[in-house]
Amino acid sequence: MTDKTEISRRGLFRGVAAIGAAGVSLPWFSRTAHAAKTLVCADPGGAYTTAFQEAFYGPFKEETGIAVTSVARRGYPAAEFKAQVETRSYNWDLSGGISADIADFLRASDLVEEIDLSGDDIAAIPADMKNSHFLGNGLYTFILAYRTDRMKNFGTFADLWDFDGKPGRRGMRRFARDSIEVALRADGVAPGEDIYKVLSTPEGWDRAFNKLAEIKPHTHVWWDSAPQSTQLLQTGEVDACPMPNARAQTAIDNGVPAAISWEGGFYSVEGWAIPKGSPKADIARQFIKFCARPDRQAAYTKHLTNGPTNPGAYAFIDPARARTLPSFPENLARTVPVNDTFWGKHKEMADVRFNEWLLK
Amino acid sequence: MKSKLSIKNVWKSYGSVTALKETSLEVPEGEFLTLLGPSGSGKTTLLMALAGLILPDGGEIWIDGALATYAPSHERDIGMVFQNYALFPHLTIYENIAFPLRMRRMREAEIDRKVRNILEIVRLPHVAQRFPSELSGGQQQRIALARCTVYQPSIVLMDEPLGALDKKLRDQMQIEIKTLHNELKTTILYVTHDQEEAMSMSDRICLMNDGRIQQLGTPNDLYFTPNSIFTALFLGGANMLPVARKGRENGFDVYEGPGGGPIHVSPAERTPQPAAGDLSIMVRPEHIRLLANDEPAENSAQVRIRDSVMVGPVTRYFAELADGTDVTFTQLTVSPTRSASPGEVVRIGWAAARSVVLEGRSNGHD
Amino acid sequence: MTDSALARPAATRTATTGRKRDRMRGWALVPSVGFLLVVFLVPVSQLLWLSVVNAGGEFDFVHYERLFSSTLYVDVLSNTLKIALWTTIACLVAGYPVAYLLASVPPSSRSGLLIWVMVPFWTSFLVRSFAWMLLLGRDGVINQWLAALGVVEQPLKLMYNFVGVMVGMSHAMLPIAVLTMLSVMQSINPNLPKAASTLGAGTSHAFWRVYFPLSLPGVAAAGLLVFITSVGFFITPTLLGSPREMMIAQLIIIQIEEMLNWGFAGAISVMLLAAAFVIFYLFDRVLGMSALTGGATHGKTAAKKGLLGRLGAQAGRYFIACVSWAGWGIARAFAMIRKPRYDRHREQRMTARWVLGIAVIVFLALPSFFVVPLSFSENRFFGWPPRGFSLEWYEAYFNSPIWREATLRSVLVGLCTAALAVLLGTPAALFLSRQEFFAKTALMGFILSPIVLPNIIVAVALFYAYSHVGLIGTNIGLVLGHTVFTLPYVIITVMAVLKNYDHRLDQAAWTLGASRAATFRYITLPLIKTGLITAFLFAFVRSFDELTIALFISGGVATTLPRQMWSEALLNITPTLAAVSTLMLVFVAIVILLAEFIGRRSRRR
Repeated sequence: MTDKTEISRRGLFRGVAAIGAAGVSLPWFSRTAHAAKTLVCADPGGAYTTAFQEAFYGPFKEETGIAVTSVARRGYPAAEFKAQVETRSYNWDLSGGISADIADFLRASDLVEEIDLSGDDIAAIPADMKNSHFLGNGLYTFILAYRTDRMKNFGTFADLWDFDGKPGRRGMRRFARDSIEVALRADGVAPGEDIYKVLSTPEGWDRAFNKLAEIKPHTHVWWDSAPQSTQLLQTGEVDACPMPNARAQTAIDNGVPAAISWEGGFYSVEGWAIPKGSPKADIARQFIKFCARPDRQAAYTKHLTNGPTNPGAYAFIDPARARTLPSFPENLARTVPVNDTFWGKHKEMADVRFNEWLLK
Repeated sequence: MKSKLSIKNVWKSYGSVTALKETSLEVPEGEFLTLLGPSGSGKTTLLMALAGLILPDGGEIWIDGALATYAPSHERDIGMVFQNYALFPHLTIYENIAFPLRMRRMREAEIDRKVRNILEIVRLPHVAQRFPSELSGGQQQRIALARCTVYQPSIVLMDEPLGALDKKLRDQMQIEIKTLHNELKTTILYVTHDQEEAMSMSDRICLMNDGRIQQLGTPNDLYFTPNSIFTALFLGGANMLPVARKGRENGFDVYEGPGGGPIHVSPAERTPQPAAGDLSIMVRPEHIRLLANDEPAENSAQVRIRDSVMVGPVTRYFAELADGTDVTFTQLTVSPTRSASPGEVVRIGWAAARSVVLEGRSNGHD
Repeated sequence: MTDSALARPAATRTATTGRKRDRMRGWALVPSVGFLLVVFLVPVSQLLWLSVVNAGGEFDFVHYERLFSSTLYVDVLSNTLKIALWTTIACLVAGYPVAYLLASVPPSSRSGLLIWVMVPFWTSFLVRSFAWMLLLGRDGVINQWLAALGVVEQPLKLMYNFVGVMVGMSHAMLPIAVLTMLSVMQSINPNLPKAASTLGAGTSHAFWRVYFPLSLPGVAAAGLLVFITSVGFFITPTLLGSPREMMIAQLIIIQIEEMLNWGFAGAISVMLLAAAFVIFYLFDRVLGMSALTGGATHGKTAAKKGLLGRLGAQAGRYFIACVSWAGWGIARAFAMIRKPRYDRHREQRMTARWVLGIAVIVFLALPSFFVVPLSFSENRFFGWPPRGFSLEWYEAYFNSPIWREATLRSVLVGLCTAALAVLLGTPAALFLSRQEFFAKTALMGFILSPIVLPNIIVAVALFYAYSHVGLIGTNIGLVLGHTVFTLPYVIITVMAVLKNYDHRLDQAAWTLGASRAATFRYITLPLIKTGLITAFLFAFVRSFDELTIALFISGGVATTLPRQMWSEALLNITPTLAAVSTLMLVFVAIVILLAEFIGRRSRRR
C-alpha cells in the first residue's frame, strides 16, 4: 500500500537532486579556486551591476581577456573588508562604489591595498577625489528633491523650513551628518568650511540641533534605507525631501513630476578599493586604472546618474544626460564637497547625539 | 508446573515515593493471575515493569527462564492491552492487528490468515477496513484483545482493560476474555481494582496494597480466609467484631465478643492464630443465619434490627448488638412472611468455622 | 518481605544497567545541542568575547561602561522590548480568534484556511514591507478608499508611526502565533466546554472558565515565540516606523558595519541577550516552562510554584473571573433587548468566529495579493495604481540566468536547511517533551538564543569560524548558518505537536514487538507528520527569506533570491520584485494542489 508513494517520493528527491546538480554551480563542500586570470568585484548590486558591467567589466574582458565577475555586497562593506582581511579568506578581489568616508576609515584601519596612481587618466582626476588607497570614479550629491506638482517656488533648504509659507509634507534622512549639514544651511550658514567652523564649538552643535528641533514636528518621514527615498518621492508620500541625486533622478526618469535643486548640495566621492592582502591585487590595480578612462566613465553614467570624476568623460556624454550629473560644471559650481575628515572624527558622537535626540 | 514468569525482589521508586516495595511473585504457565488493589497500590507499576515500559530500580524479572529485567519491551514476547486500548488511530483495524505480525516479519499470506482468523474469534470480521475511531468502545476493546493475542505472546498483560465499558458490556467481555484464555492457553496478568471482576475471572488473585503484596491466593482463599482486615474488607462485605482472647474450650478457641459473650472459632481454620494485641473477628454477612428461639448454634447473639433491604434473591439486614456494635447479615428471601422487621430483637448465629480472627481493629464494616 | 529502602545491595548491579539505559536516551539531545555548540555558541562567544577585552587582550569593561554613559542604548532596548511586547499582544489578540476558528471547523476546511494563514510566509519581507507602504501611505490605497467612501476628510497617518510598525510586525508574526496556538487548541477535549454548559455555565463562562484556561499553554508558547522573534527584528520598524521605533538590532548593526567596533557591538548584544534571558526566566517562573515544553500545567499545587507563580496564578484567576462575568453581563444585556433564539445560538457563534477569522486572514493575505496586479503593470516602479498590461517584468525574471539560479539556490538551500533542522531538532523535541531534568529551562533558553541575536552577529562569527575550515562561499556553509536560527523554530513546533501525543501508543507498539526505530517509523512519525511538515515549512521559509548570512557566507560568486531581490531593490523597487512574489505564490499554490491531489489519490486506494 505504501510502496508506490515511497517510490514516487524517492523519485522526486532524485529529480530535485538532479536539478540541483545541473543548475547550481556553487560548490557544496569547498569552493573552486578562481581561474588565475579572473577578477571578482563586489558592487552594491542592482543598477550598479548593470552600469559597471556595461562600462567596466565587459570592456575590460574584451581588452585584456580577464573576466570580471560581479557580486553583491552589504551597503556598508567595512565589516566585510575586516573579516576578509583578518581571516585572509577573500570572497572578492576589489570593490567598487565605496564612499570616500568609508575608504578613509578602511585606510585608517589598515584594511586596504595601495593602488597604482600612475598614468594620464588618473592624473586628470582632481586630487580630492583620489588618494594612495582609493580612486574615486563617481560623484553623488545630497540635494533637495521636491514634487513639482505640489511645491511651487521651491528650491532651497531654507524653503524646507518655511512650513507656513510653503506647506507640504517633508521628509528627512535618518542620518546625523546629512541632517546636520542641511539644518545649518537652512539656518543661514554658508555651505562648505563655514559649516565646520560653526561645528567646532558645542554652541554650534546646539545651534544645529535647535534648527532640527524646528523641523521635527513637520517631518512626515525619516527615511533610512536608500530605496525608500525614491519610493517616497514616487508615490507622493512626501512633497520635499533631501536625498542623493541619483535617487531623485530615478524617480524623475520614471516619469514622476519632481525636480532637483542643486543649490547648497554637498557631494561625496565613491570609487574603488582593494582589500589588503588580496591575492589578485595586481590585476585589481590594472582594472582600476582601466576604469579611470574618460570613455569608460562616460559609459557608466548611462545607467547611473553619478558624476564621472574624470572631466574628460563629458566629451562622450549626451548633453541632456550631462546636465543631470553632479560633476557637470554648472551643478558642481553650486555644490561643495562634504568634509570626510571632519565627519570621520565626529561620526560616533554625532550619531549617538542624533539618535538620542530622535528618540526624545 | 513450570514458572512462566518469575519476579524477584523488584522495586521502584519515584523520588521519595516508593511506588513498589520489594516484590516477588511466581506465575505458572497458563495461569490467569489478577493484580487487584486500590489505586496507588503499585499494581500498575508492577505491570509496567513486566512490560518493560518502566525500568525497576532493583530486582530481577525472568520470563520463560530468561532474565528480562532490562530487556526492551519488544524483545520480551509479551502482549499488552492498555486501559484506553491504544489502537493506532492512523491504521485500519486490519493493519492494527497485522502490526505485531509485520514486526515479526511474517509472510503476507500468513499475516492475512492470522488476522482473519482472530477477527473471526472476536466476532468482528466485518470491521477490518475501518479505522479505530469508527468503532464502539466494546468493539475497540475486542480489537485490542485480538491485536495482543494474534501473535500468541507467551504472556498477555492487561491494564484495567474493561474500565471504560458499561456494566453489561463488561460482564460480556469478562466471559470473552475467559473464553479466549481457555482457548489459547495463554498466561494472563490482569490488573483491576474491581474485586468482583477479579474473583470471577482469576485462577489466583494477587492483592496489592501500599506498594506490596497483601495476599496471594485463589479467590476462595482470599474470600474465606483473608489474612488481614484490608483483604477481608476489600473482597466483600464483612462484619468486624472487636474481641479479646479468652482461652480454649471444647476444641474451640474462645474470644470475648463486644457484648461480653463468648465467640467460638475453629482453631484448624487458620494457623498461627494471632496471640496478642487488638484482635477482630470477621464474619461474612451471608454466613450469619437468623435462629429460631431455641435453635442451637456454635455462636449466637441477640440483635435489634434497625433496617432491612430486600434486593431480590437476598434480604439484607442492618442490626446492632446490645452494646451498639453494627452487624450486617443477609438471608435468602424465601417468603415474604419469614422476615424480621425493624425494631424487632432476634437471635442470630454462625458457625465457628466461619469466624476468622484477624489482627487489628476496624471502625465499622463494609 | 523486607522494606526496601535500606536493604538493596543485591539490586544495585542491575540497577546501574537500567540507569545507563535511561541516560542513553539523553543522546537525543546530542545532535542539536552539539550542532548549536559548534556552529553557534563557540563562534558567537568568540565575537562576544571582544566586548570584555581590549586591544591588548586584557580584561576591560570600557564597552559596558559606555553602554550606560548615554541613555541611548538602554532607551532603545526598552523601546525594543516595548515594541516586541505590543507585537506579541497584537498577535495573540488577533491570532486567537483565527486559531479558535481553525480548531472548531472540520479538518477539511481547516487545511484550506491554514494555507491562507501561511500566505505571508511566501512573500519576501522586502516586498511585504513595500506593499504595506503602498497600502498605508498618505495617498495609499486604504486612505484613497476611506476618502472615496467619505469616512475621512484628511488622510489618516497609518505609517511612519507606531501603527505602521504594529501592522508590519504583527503581519509578519501572526502565522507563527496562529499555528502555535492551534496545535494546543486541537488537543482540547471538545466535550469539556459542553460539560461546563451542563453544569450551568453560560456561553461566556464556559469559554472563559473552561476553554480559555485549557488553551493557555498554546497562548503562552505563541507569546514567547513571537516575543523573542520580534526582539531581533529591525527592517520592518525601520521601513514602516518613525525614529521613535528604533530597534536595538539596528544599533548593533551600526557598530558592526559602520564603526567596526565589534567589542561594543558585542556589549550591546550581551545586554540584549541578558534582557531576553531575564524575560525568559520570568516567563518560566510565572507561567511555567511546561507551557512551552508540554508538561502538565494543570494541577500544580500553589506551594510548588513560588511567589511569582502564585501571584501570576492569582492575577490570572481575577482576570478570568472579570472577563467571564463581563461576557455574561453583555450576553444578559443582549438577551434583555432581544430574546435569544436558542435553536440558532450555535450558528450565530460560529458566524462571529468566521467574521473575526476571515478579517484576520484577509489582513494576512492582503499584501501578497496586492502585489499581483503590480507585476503586470507598465509602471517603471513599484506604485499603485498599476497602469496598462505588461509582461516585461516576468520576461526580466525568466531571461535572467542570475534570477533563475538565485531562485534555484534559495530553494535548494531552504530544502536542505529545513531537512537538516528537522533531522537535528526532532529527536531533541521528542526528548525535551518527555523528560524532566535539571537545567531544562536553561537549556531551552540556550536553544532559543539564536533567534534573539541579530543575524549579523551569527554571520560575522561564522565567517571567522568558516575561514579556518574553508566553508566560506559554499552551500554547506550557508545551510549550516541557516540551520542555526531555524533549529529553535523546529524544536518548539515539534514540541508543541508532541504535547498532544499519546505516549501510550508508543508503549503499545513496543509491547507488540516493534523496536524503538520501528515504533518511530510506523507509529510516531505518521502521527506527528503534520507537525513535522509545519516545522519543515517554518524552517524553509526562514531560510528562504534570509539575507544577512547569505551576504556574508555565500559572499562569493553565487547569489540567493533574497540577496538578488535586495540588490535589485537597491536603487529602485521595480515591479520585477512583484513578479517574483507572484511567481512564488503560483509555485506554492501548485505544490499545495499537487500534494492535495496525491493525498486524495492515495486515500482513495
